[in-house]
Amino acid sequence: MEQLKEKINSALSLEELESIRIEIFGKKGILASEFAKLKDIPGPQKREFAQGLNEKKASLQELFDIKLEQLKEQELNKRLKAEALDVTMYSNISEKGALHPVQETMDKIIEYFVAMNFAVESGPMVEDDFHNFEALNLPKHHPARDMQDTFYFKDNTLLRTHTSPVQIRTMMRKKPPIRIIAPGSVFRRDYDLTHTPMFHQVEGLVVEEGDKVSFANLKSILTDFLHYMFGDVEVRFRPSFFPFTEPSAEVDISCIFCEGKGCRVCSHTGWLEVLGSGVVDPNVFKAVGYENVSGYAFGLGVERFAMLLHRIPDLRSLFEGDIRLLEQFR
Amino acid sequence: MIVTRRWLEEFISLDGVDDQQLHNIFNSIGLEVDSMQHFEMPQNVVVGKILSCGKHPDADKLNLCLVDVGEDEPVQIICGASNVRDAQYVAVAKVGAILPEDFAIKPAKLRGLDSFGMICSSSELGLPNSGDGIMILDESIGKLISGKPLSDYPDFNDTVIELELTANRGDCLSIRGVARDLSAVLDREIERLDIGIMETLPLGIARMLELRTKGRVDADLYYSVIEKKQLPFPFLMRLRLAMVDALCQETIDSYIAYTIHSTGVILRAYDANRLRDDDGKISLEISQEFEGYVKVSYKNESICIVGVSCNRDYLAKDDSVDILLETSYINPNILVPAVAKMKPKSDELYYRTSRGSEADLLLGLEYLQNHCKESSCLFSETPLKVESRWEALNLSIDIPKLYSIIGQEIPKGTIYTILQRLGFEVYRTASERFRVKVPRWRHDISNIQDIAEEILRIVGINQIEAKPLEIFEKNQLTKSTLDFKVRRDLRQRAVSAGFFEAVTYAFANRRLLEEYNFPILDSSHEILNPIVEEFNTLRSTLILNLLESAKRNVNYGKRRIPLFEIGSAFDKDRQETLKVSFLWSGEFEVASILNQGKPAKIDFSSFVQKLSSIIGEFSLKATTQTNGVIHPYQSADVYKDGNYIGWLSKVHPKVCEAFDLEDTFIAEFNFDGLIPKHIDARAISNFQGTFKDLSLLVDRELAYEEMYRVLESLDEPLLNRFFAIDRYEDEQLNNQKSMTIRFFLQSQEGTLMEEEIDGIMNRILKSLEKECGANLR
Repeated sequence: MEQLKEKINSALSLEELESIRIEIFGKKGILASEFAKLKDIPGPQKREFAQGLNEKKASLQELFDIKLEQLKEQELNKRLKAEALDVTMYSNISEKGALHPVQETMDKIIEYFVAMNFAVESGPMVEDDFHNFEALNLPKHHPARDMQDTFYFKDNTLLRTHTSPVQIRTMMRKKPPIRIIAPGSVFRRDYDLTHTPMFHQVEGLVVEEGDKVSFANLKSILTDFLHYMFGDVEVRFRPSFFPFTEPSAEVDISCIFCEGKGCRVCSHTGWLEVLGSGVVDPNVFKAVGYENVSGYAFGLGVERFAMLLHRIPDLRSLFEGDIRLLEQFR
Repeated sequence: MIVTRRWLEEFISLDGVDDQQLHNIFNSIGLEVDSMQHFEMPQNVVVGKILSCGKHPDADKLNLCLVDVGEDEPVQIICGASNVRDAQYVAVAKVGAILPEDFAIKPAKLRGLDSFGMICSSSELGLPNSGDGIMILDESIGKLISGKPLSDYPDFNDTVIELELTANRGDCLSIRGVARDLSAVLDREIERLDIGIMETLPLGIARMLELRTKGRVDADLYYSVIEKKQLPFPFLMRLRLAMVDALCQETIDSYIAYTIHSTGVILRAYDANRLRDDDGKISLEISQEFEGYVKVSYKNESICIVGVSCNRDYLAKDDSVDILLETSYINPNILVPAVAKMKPKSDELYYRTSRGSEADLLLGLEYLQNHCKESSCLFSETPLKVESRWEALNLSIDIPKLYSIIGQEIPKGTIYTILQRLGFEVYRTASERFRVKVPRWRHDISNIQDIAEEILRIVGINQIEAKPLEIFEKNQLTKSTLDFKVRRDLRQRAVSAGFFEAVTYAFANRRLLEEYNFPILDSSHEILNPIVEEFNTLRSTLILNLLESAKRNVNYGKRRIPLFEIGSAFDKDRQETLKVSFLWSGEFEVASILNQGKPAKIDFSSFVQKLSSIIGEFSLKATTQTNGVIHPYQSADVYKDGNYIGWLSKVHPKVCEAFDLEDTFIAEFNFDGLIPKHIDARAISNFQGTFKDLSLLVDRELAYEEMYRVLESLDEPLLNRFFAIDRYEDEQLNNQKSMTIRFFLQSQEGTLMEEEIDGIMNRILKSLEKECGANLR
């Protein structure tokens, strides 16, 4: 008996255990031959013998089951080990592409204003003088037109120099209240290290009936927006001039590179100019046939935001489809 | 506009306002500071009086000077500047002085003679260049005392501030104009110019000058005659003109420039003797060819177009004896359109006149007269005037409306003071209303919002409390808003599929578009003033831009180039459509452990698979494209839900060669075709379906599309879907190929019986035999 137990315990593999099983529990196995002896045992001892044999069988079976479990586990572990991989080799093999930082920045800007209940609006790139200039209180020969060197077409149309014509188109199409942003490409005839003939702007316009909208409202939303974009920065409003707003202000944030101490990026002023804004000029409302309304408008350059946010040094590289730049944004 | 602190102080007290505060004030009132530079005189630089000056015995170009520098003994200094010979008072850097750029003054020997110090030019002291040679000092900067440190003269320790003015602020194109803005912020008086009593020419102006006007004249012109004997050039004027970069060759020109910069009044000085008739009288004719285009002529020759230019032949020089001084004003709102129409050549003063010069002409005249006090010039007692008709603009201001624009109440007293300081006349007409008379130099002010801006900028925007706007809740999901979301999702999917987003210019090279047979703009719609040849038209496709970008990436050493762009393209009528374009060039996979560093190349099937993971299901049909970029045998038109949405193709090997590219695939879709459609769900059958494959022999040239069309047209409700799974060719098949198509049959009503299945498959086979000449393989 002890010998048999020893035997089961000594099995090293499932195969070995199987042959031991046949040897002990098989039809011609040791137990079978023991049970065969039963018929030769006389009555009174027979019962006792059978009982002893059954107990033996049960304890061997138990031992066997335990061993079987052990060996199965052992085999599984062996198999798992054989499947071992150097998982660390599979690092950094992404085939993912990347969004363009300018478009991604535009998304971020749009998401803010959509969350503030603004609608996205769009307009054509080929514009006419009325929508791009005249209606925006930029009459012909206005000196401010010099600031925006324009691409003209032979048929007296032009490439929009800002996204502001979308304001005009929207106001001519519907009645106040208006809350829109207009993202898009704009064009100026300027091509050097810091200017590209095409770039992107996001324009915003809010118009309400009556005297509801004030400069203080503009200050509120733009301050919040700039905190959303740039985090914990100081926001400064400076009076400025845009023909289509009055009063007008340029908006600066404290330099995100030097925290206002002064560095090359902020030309040692500690401030970065990021937005133009103002209360809509009454002449603009007049041009679109609005009466007794108030509103504010603002505009920003997306490239500038993207370059500041992601510390991109070279403006022109943004338009080259340069994968060395883009793959950094995966 | 460049101002200096000391020059400003001629008009307004800046006591208690340091440079940094001044800087902040300028920024906060909308006169943006571009740069600010403070000058500080080094130690040991003093006023020196030249006692004697002779030639160095051994050097022609050197001068031997004895200079009183306030010490017991005069010092000997060797000086190379030729103008030292005319000098009396100079700036001397004594031994021990350390000049800018760490230039230490030590005793020196020059050609054998000792020199104890240096007589300085302005640039040697770190000042702007105020002319050739050394500085010759005079009492325009204060009483000159030998040995007195230069740093004790405030005009040397000046601060130069360059302001960037917005186009509407012509009134700040003068020192006085800037001072006027400061007077509003600081609530301080502007100093009045007091010229006192001056000797004038005995002859009345009308005896010397005759002005004949023809018709209406929209300009103001004042003429004075000056008898010029001597005109010394005061050092302070020289120094300040150098600081604001306006120093002129001729002294008379410098006087004029100084007066213009100081007051903003436009002045021109002519040589009176060149304009005199035989009887000694000057006779000018003033006429207006066009509103705002005013010409002054002498004997039919134009001497001046007011606000635009003048005839340089008649300008006064330093040797002119008598001067005809012209001061002028013309409203920029009529001048600028006139110039745009007449297109005359304009001179440097046009920058001022087009933005609005000072209209108070007497101010300029008197300022100049005042600065000529020390010289022996005599002015005519009064000027002869031509004046245009002008009526001041009066605005009635509703105070609550003013508050509602700003979003905050401002004390009324503050409002009145600000406006008055800025030169507006204020009349209180009712408790909540007042009237302002707009000064002539503020042609940019025309309504209440302009007034609000003046208040806002002087009070300071940062003093205004931000208040969120209360709005009515309203669904703002416009078509463009939804398109933005579609576009963003599409871009995200393209990125997941491995593409990099490109942004390229909406321009193209017309020659290149023509070369590759893409649509070009009608020449009548073409760009008039392109910036460079490669951008001389609008693009009709994004593909060429992507090919250019791919080429650039090859140059940067990239082997796997997946790019996409969403952008506008323009047809021949310049109609704008939004395109979604893809390009994949070179390697398909990233080289990595996954492919033992041998990444597969892009091919037709992988490209198509990538695209469908972005834009969903589509079907391909034989191409109808005619552009020169496509591969004639690996290109297709793309249909989605039965509609044409664009095309895809392998790039023609010749084009690949032209752009230095390996095998490249491209696709261009219309954005509108990719907007997801509304979907209604179909009932799902709970009964087992059956897959059946058919392998058919068909003509080798037969497009799958033909078989697809036949199968699509079958009226077999139980044929749920089908798709090609294999295409096989070998020599034994001759001109035929084997196509294997898999069919999925399913019913909503029950499990299909064998006979039903056979029946359907037979009918399918029959149709394909009949329509496509197919045979069971």
